Amino acid sequence: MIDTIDLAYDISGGHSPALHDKKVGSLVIQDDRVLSANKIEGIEMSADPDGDRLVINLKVLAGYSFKDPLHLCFGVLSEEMAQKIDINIKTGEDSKIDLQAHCVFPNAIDVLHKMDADILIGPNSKYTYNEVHYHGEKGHVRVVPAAKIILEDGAQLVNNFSLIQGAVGKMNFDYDIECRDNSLCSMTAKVYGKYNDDITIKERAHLKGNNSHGILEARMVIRDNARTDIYNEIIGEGDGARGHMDCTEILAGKNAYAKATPIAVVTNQKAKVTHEAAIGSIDSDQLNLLMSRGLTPDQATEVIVNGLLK
Amino acid sequence: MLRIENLSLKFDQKDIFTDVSLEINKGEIYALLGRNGTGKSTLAGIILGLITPQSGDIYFEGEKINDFSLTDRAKKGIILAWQKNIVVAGLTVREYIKLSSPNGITEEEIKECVDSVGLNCDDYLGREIDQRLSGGERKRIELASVLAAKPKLAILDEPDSGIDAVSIAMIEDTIKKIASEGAVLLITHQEDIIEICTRAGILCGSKIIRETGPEDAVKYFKKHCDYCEMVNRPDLDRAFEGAL
Repeated sequence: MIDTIDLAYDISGGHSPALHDKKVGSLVIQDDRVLSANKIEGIEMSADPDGDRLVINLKVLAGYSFKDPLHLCFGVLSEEMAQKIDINIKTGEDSKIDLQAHCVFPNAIDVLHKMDADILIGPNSKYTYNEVHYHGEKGHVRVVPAAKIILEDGAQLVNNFSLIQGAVGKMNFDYDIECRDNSLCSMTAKVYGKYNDDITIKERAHLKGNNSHGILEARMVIRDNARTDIYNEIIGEGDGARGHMDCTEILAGKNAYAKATPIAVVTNQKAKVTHEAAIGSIDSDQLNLLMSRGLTPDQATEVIVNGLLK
Repeated sequence: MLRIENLSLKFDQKDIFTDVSLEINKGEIYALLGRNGTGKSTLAGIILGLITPQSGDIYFEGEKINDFSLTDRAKKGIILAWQKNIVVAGLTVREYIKLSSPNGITEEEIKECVDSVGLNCDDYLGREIDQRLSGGERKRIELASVLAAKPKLAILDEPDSGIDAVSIAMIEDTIKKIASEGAVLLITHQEDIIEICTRAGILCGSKIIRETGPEDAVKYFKKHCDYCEMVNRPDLDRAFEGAL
């Protein structure tokens, strides 16, 4: 039983001293309450309960950029809990911020983690969101993140989602992104599905603005009875809009199931949207290469899987 | 060190090898010459355990290894520098060299291996091995990984392809270094690199038709194979014995 948020945070790959460093901005949510919040100059932050939900407001002031990432930790240490979070994020013009979020549910037997986000990325600001999940090995977690994101002119969004450690449980990921002039969004999801995990990822990027760019990328490994359904859609509407979807999935189990649906919609002859998807078993050439260096088939498979999800 | 006895392999009614025997001793650089499609890389695959022949035996250090897996043969010290450029996503040069050294390798030794194939460590060690690297760069990385593995028998499948003329001497030195502690089976059809071999075998028409020193090898290989290709009669080696 993992009984402290610091320990859970460290197990998930975080560095818990950062949560206690007064120079580093952080917000720690355990179960349905705020455990700690460290505000720093340039960021306005509040977290308040509203019925059965926790409402977080986060504003990055215009012109501010930060050397260290802002650390967010959403943890549930109880075996049974519904954690529902509404998060509203706004970044001011010309700001730059990296958020490092860890979602840790190490003891889950019946845990719901529901997050609804409204994100407005201001003109010419850069927003990076790295989200790492750790769910323990039981996999009795339902993860339901949904986000509506608007990138204003010249804004950049880099979103990296990673769920590699432990079992996933049931995940339903639903992101809608609107890109205005000269903006760029890059979404990457890396997930290792095991046991009876059920993973659905829906991402839609609407490239409304001129010269807006969008990349939706998924890297999945699925074994045992796990299943994935990846739905990516990019609409190229603005002059010079460019979008690309890339989905690579490795099936490493007889009963594993993977489905990828890339939808490319173009409504402007000056826009372009491309896609590629590859779903298959572990590549035999790669296996042979690694085994020819003395690795066993299992060790070679691990290297290939870890490499894809790196 | 390596002994192949009476090896035969047939694919789709076509003889790839007919009763081929071959011996490579410690310290040797044995060049296997042959035109495209004569089965040079297939022979490498058989030695490595990727392909099972219909008949014949393979001995390594006196032990019959026919039933050994790819992994077991590698653990015995048989290491291949692959001709194909195979990409394992996310793997850096450092990581690849490390995993090629099952007995462990220091950072200093990794750098020596990378230096010896003419690559700058600062630029390459942390770099991912992917499609952005040129064919020549990947060949060098492959060779560095074989050097790091300290093989007893290194099988180098066209290690010189994609390497510029200026750097070829460096690659030859690396091959000699590998041979100084084991043996090398060098698969090639480039004349220049054959000069460093101690012995060469010419593969043609499903057989090793001649074993010779490096000078005669090039001469014989060119004349014989040109002629065989022209008349499509790879069994004419006896006629050439007299001509040479």
